[in-house]
Amino acid sequence: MRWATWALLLAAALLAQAGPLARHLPPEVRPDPVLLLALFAAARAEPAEALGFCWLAGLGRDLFSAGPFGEYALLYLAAGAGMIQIRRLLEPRLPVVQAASAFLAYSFIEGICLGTTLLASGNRHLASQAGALISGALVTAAAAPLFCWGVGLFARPLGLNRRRWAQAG
Amino acid sequence: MKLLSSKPGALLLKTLWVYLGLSLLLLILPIHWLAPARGAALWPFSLAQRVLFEGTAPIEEFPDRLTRLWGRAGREQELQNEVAKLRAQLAAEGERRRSAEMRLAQMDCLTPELQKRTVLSRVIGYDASPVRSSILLDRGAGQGVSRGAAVLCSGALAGMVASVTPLSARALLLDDPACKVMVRCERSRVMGVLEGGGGGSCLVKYIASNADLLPGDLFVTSGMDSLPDGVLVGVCTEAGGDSGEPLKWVTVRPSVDASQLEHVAVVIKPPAREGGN
Repeated sequence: MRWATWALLLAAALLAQAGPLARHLPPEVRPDPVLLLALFAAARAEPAEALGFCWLAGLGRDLFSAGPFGEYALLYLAAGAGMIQIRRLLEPRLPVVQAASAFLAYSFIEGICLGTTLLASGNRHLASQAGALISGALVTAAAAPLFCWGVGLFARPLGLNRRRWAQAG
Repeated sequence: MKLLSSKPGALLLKTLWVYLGLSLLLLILPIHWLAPARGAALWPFSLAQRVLFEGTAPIEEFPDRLTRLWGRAGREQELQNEVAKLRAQLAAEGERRRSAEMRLAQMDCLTPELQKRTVLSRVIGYDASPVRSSILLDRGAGQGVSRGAAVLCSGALAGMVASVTPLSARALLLDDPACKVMVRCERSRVMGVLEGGGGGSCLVKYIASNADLLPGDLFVTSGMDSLPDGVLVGVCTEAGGDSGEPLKWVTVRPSVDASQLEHVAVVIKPPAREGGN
């Protein structure tokens, strides 16, 4: 795993997420490139390094959000750990697996964020945002195969091993 | 489980615990301890976002220019280039003029008292989370912006500053769940606490169930918190009835459309008087 290349990709994804995407698209139709990048790392990189990258990606999301610092870092770490387990059972290069894992991870992360925000503010009307989250998860899932294919083209500069880790381990 | 007992599995588990501990530590630490580090980490990103926002106009024109370059030849090509260049200059001038007009419009909407205490700022980023609603401003502590300062757009309240770095500030918009503002109904003088409801709507809570409120009533700031008094906040869209409960809530639509925010005015604290009490 070449950290400099991954960091550049992460910075670009964060800037896109908090810039043009957030500016032009409502949350219902906004894909989450940072999450997709973290899941891609968890699916393809060495597990220990992938976990570190997922945590950093979450920390980056925390920087660009008004929520409690460390919340996304924890959730991205959990999503990354989940993806590492999934890739042992299923082929992570299958578009269906990529889309399903993106949907699950998005729903899990943003669902917990919504839940904690709801608990912290005591504002039960926030529950109406759940629909927007599911819609956002669907868009992210739809974008996942294309995103993974695009990033997968740069496997060599990203320092990814062609051999599956589960087979190697 | 077989994986976790293997050598790479043990390393993975150890790594997971380390990051888990770090995340929990970050969550537990007080916000003001982390604020400087957070500001320092955000600094290069805020610079990049500023460049990104200001640099998108030439990029949008680039394919157009490329087509023109390849489509014609000779003198016609030169003339077309000249026209394109002039158009680009005109567009850039127009954009600059529009930007200046928008900034001036922000000032025109403010009372003379507030005009002396505001700093104009450009929105350079939005919230990455779909649950939260905040904006990143290109003015920070260096320009006098402080935590809790009011963020105004067209004279109405758009939100309040939640965190400040030397060169940028993050402001919570009114529909963010963490944003709480003391407000007053302009007609009936009923007071309540406005809380973000997400998705562009807000609630005003802690209102007596028999309070005189009607849809269409305007809500303004009460001046009982750090925000200036009498600034328009939003319009009541659903007043609710007397349910028999001691308190009720009403729904309010903020006056400022968060998706249209480009320039905002941030109210800064007046300079402290020397020898004052």
